Amino acid sequence: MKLVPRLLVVTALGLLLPAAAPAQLFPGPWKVSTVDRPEQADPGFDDSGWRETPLHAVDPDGDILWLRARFDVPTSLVSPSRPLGVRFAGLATCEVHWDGVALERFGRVGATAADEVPGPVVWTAAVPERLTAPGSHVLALRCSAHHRGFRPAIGLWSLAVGEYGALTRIGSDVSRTALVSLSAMVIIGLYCLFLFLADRRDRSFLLLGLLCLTAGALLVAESWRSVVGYTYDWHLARLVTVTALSWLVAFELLVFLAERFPMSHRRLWVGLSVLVATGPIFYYRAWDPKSAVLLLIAFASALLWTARALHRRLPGSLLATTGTALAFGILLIEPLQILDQLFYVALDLLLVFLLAAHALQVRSTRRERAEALVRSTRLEAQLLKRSLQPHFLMNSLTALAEWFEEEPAVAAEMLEALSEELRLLGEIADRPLIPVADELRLCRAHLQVMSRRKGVGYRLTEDEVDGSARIPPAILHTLVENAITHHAGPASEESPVTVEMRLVQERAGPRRRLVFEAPLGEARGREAGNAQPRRDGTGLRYIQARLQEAYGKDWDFRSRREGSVWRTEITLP
Amino acid sequence: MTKDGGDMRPKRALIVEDEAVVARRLIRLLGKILGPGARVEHRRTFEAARVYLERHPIDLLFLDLDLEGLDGFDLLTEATAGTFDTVVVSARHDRALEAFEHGVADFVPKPYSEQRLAQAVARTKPEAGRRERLQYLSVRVGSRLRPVPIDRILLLQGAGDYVELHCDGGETHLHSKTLAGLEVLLPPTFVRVHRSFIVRLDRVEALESAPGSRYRLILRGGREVPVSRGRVQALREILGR
Repeated sequence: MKLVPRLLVVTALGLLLPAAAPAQLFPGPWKVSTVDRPEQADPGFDDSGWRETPLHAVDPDGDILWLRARFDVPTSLVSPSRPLGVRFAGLATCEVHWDGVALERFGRVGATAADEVPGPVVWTAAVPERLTAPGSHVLALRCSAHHRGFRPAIGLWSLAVGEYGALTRIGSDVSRTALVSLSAMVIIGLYCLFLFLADRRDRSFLLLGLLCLTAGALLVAESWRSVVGYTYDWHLARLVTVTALSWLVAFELLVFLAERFPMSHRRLWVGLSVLVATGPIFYYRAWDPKSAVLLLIAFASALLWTARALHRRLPGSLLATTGTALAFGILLIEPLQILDQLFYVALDLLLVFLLAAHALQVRSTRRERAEALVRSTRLEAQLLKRSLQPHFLMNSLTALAEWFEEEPAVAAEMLEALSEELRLLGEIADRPLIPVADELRLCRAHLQVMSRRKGVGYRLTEDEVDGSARIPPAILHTLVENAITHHAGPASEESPVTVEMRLVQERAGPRRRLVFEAPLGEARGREAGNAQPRRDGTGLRYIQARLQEAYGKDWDFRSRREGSVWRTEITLP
Repeated sequence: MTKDGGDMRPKRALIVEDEAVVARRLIRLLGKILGPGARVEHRRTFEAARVYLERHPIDLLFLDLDLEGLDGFDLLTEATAGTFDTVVVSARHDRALEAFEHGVADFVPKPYSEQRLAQAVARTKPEAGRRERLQYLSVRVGSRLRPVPIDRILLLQGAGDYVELHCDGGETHLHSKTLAGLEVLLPPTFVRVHRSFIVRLDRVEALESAPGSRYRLILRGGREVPVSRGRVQALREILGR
């Protein structure tokens, strides 16, 4: 096997397999006394008058307590190369005496808060080898706890005897997983923030980045004890920090999902979920369940939201739901202990799925943008071609040839109008929106040329039209062209002397509506019925494509005959 | 000009064009080209032109293919069925080939000069030469006009005011043009062998002499067609005998 795969396998196994539980024995039953006298450490001391108590029931509330227990060290535990140790875990400062001999001191027990120097929450003291012969031994503890800051349910958690090295390594597997998770969390969090900075339009990345970094902070707070350690007076602060960060993670997770999969009532959903998730903080007295149940509720709610997104077939929802479901499933393995390791595994898994969903979304967004660009370019080309339409250009040039030879003054005027129209078409072709006033100028130039060409007086009147508002280019021009060629054209030998087209602007709720009316020539009126003549097809497709380019789906287009008039209504935001 | 110096210019023309100024140009220039004594009429729509044609024979039709809202080629099918020559005047230059396939005398793209128009008029005369590209002749089928591919035509027989087109499968159609008018349009595979007959060369089986020093062609399928004495020599050369 090559080196890199081998390393990966070994690392994975090392991370995933729990360390074997070391051999420990827990001395007990314990006897407790509130009398503080040094000779009580002596193995021979008579503690028959002392009250018996389990260790977890001991509460050194304001007093110095002494605890004594007798226990047996089995032969199996003793070995020359492996010294023994005593491991204490609890919210108190403790001095340990092994058979009357004081072991290493952590902190200083005191009668008052000022006298006491708080000791670490967890420590392991080595036992001198000469004292560790198999057989019966006595442990005496002297403890005080003035710096707790609160009244915990359990003050003294455990006292164990075992092989020194093994005792110090307890909890290290947790640290390992925690540190690997932490680096992943921080890197993904920073990556998400960079993504947001690169493209400020996508706020969900800001939220995801914050979520990752908060989860990383939570992980640090949670695993501080195993990785760094602290004196017990910080324990309350740590508990509060862990709970607060858990709450923040829950909140950010829900806000992120609401942003990533926007659906109706999302603010209500986030508010309600956060409210319910906050409940455990007040309901439970013990600290572990406060955070654990809070996060479980948050993940359950997240699962509901992503499932709803999946039902709506929102992009990325399948991956998000799968990730959330798997994460939630992992949390359910040991619901109240999730902050130990499971939570981070679950969150890492969820992040992987969310990032995969994001990658897919980026690809589809990129494709959509490329398609939109192609469509816009095509529309621009279409419009440019319009100025080159043979029917328009060649007939105009033929008419110009005639005017040059017979009516030079008209030729000069028409040349100007024609070049104005061509110039405007060239100018507006690559813009998605132009002022209505420019569009009207284009239409009027066109009508001027056509009027002369056809010997008909084409006029365009406007009513309440806001010239500064914007409209996609050449839409009215298309309608005017269609009106001339298909509707107002000479249906019989007697053609009208003037043809008047009207453009009216109306309100349509919050939107505006432009109404264009052109009279139908007689024969056309008879033939056309109510259906749009087929030859209008290309023009209509152009109009609809331009409307879609500028307004997405927020527009409406209707065109039909009304009596002797062809009426077109365009509704725009 | 014919040998006797008479004026062979076409005399009666009809223009179908819906643009006023463009029509004016055509009328003015045609007036100059055809000379005094020529009659140039103008109609804006094909229907109006039809009405005019019912009562008035013409020699030349100038047709704009881009008449509003109509497919120029439906018009062309109808126009080329007539007795007169059709010249297409069009803004769209890309359909020239198609127009020739239907049997127009010329295709004049807009804008045009007086010389170009004169050239088109010249092409309507019989001496102007053959056109290689004809593919359809428009015939009346019932009340409609249909383009018949010339590949299916075996022979053409003059019959009074009409020409009978004899096609594959025994079909016969009538065309309004004269044999001379069609001879000008048809490609060299069609040869005028008699005052009343144009024959398709690749259907000829044999050239035989008949009693009374006449000649006849035997076509594939057994059909016999007389050959006028004046054309035998030329025919022999074409057939390679």
